[in-house]
Amino acid sequence: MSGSCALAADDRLAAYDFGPGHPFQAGRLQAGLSLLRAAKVLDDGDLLAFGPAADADLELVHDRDYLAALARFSVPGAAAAAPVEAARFGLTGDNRPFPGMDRAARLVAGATVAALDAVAAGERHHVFAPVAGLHHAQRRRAVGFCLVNDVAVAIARCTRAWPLRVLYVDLDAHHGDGVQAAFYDDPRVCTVSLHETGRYLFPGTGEVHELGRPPGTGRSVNLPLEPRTGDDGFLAAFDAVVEPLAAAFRPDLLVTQNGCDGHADDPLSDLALSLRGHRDLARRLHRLAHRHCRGRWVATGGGGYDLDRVVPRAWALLWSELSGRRLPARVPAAWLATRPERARGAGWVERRRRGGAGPERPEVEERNRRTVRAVRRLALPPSVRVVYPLATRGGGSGRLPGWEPRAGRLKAPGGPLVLRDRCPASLLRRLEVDPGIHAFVRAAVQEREVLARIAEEPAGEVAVAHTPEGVVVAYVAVLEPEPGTRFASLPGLLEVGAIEVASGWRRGGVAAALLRFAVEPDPFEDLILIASGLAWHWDLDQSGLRATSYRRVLRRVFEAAGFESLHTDEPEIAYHPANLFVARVGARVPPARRTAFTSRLVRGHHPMP
Amino acid sequence: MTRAPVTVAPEATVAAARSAMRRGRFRHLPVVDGGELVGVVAAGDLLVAPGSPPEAAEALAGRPLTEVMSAQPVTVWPDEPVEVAARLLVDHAIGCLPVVADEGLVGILTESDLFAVLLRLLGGGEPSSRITLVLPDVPGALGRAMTVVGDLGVNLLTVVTEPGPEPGTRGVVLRAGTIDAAPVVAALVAAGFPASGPGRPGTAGRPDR
Repeated sequence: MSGSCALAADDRLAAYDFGPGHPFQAGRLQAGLSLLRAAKVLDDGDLLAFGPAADADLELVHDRDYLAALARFSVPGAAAAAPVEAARFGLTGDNRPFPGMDRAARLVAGATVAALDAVAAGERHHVFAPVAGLHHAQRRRAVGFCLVNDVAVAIARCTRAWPLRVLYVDLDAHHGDGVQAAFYDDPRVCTVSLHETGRYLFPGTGEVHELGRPPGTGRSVNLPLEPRTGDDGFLAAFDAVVEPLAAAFRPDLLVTQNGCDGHADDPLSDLALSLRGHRDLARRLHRLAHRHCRGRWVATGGGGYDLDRVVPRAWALLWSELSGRRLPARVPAAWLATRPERARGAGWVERRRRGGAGPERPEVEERNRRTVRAVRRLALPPSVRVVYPLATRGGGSGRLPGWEPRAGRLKAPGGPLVLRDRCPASLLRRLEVDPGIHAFVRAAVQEREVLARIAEEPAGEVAVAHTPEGVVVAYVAVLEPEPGTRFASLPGLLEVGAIEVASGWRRGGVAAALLRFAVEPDPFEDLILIASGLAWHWDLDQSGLRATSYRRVLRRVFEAAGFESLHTDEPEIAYHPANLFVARVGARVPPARRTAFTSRLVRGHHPMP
Repeated sequence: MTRAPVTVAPEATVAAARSAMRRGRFRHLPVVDGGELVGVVAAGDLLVAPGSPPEAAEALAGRPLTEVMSAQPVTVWPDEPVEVAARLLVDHAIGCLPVVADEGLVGILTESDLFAVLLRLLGGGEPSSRITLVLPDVPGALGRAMTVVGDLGVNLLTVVTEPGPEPGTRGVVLRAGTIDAAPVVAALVAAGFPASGPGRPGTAGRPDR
């Protein structure tokens, strides 16, 4: 595998240098590359060839007059002569112009472009571009040390040339605002950024409700974490969101921004991570690339400003993970000896993970938990949340009393079908799943596992429609609402967590017939069933429908099974007009429980008109 | 404000106003009769109480707006400063102000417009770091503190001051246009102004060559 990996960097990138005393300076590259060489994990054959990015590529993301300004202010003295004009493009302060900055910025973008090209074309499995991931740069403005948005440029070029879906994971301590903005409405590029909350920290954005714009709504995901989150909190947030998001999004290519400025020693942020945490994150990304992206992975270095102790080690750990080259047991003594400031023990990582916060820890953890729950609810379809649970579900308050499993028959336009309810996990694992069922996970085999796991939930019920040959073409899953959500604590309430019909079997009344069949048994008359549809979870690519038409279809399916469409101000539902909320109140549900349910629909804090 | 807003006639029905709001994605509608402003309807005026029977909703849909609108609404002139408009909204506990000039209705100002102003004033719309500090409430203190920031070559996007935590102090919230806020905080503290912000002064940018 190591032969198929590459490093997209060489000494030319030292030109990206805001000068001595500036956090982003040539010393970063030299410190990093010198450690890779000293540790003997880098051969000249690993280096990927690249040149400066072409205008045509840069213009996919940047305005022409901004690129012209970059060139103009690369000349010594030009910015001093026209300071207001330079500031208009952000070329001041953090991003003070330096001679040759235009060419240096183009080289950085060129490295990232070459990295994505090589991986997309299948020439390399993984590429690491350490001086890259300038995620703040805007269309016509330099921001936060970032002169060009190399990642956005490379992704834009790649998604134009190939029919690829790209998952971008940004671990830098700062919100990946520039990349998010570049693809805010693009459903083929899913950006997820884990960062320290923008309440105080630059750039100030990256809130949970920045979800994207149609048709890319739900494909911008943000996890703003508290200062002093520490490794455990950061990794927990990553696990709760990134892996399930990848399963739901089905990317073809993983691009990551592995900024190490979240480290406890980094002067620019307060996340309090350790190198151990960064190494664990790199491992997770590597696994994710192989599980969900056929191994296609480009990692970029991003930020990180402790140039002696943190950045070189973080790069070495990432390169080692990605290339499969084993680091020596200790950081080479000769490298350490070059500068005394490099020492922090001879280990690559700290002895243990960082716990993060001190006395304020419970509050930090609680806030992060709340954030993670909200993001999961907003960004993950219900069935994916089931397969990647946060915690075990509630005490089975809505547990269904038993009834004998039933079987029915349905003459669908596509052929005869058998309807079954109360499917146990073992049965589901024995059935085949039609490849046309794929809303949530890539391989049909995994979809079967989704159903089996739902059936194993305390109150999980799966009803399926399958062909006489045992191929599942539709399913309905009923389960308890996720803990912490608005209706979760009501007794005797379950949620239709998922309903799906294989693409080849749609428009034949299968969904309505199966749903009717699934909620027919008498015990449902003692229960309230709810279901919600968030427009961006819908399988719009496959159905060829617009969100509003899809909502109409879904609503008809539920109404045919005795559900009623209701108005609620539950924020995730109310967020978008095409979202849908339906409920079916069983005939024997006592009035008090019915009232408790309806009073929860609208919490109502509308300002006075 | 929104210039030349969509308006409705007083005899239009509740249903018509609702669909105008849905189409335009807004919640307030001026009611205009022969060029003259006679009232305002808000989305909340067009709803029946939750739990009402379906007949009530149907009956309401057919009623004319004169029955549900707020007649003779509070208005504002187009050249008033924004804080005047904000005070009117707060004092009257209302959500919108028709903007009226000599020639009649020229616009409508809503809560959302004021949020946009707030965002602009607090600098939340641009990449920046948030720094808070406490100053003695005396002439010149703010100027001296801002000079400290300016001397570092850091641009200030917004500066907001309000009464401070103790009598005789003022609290200040800055939005500084830098990703590296720690040196700004350190310089303010060194100059005797208690300040806090993200990051810590540390090893950033030490020459490594």
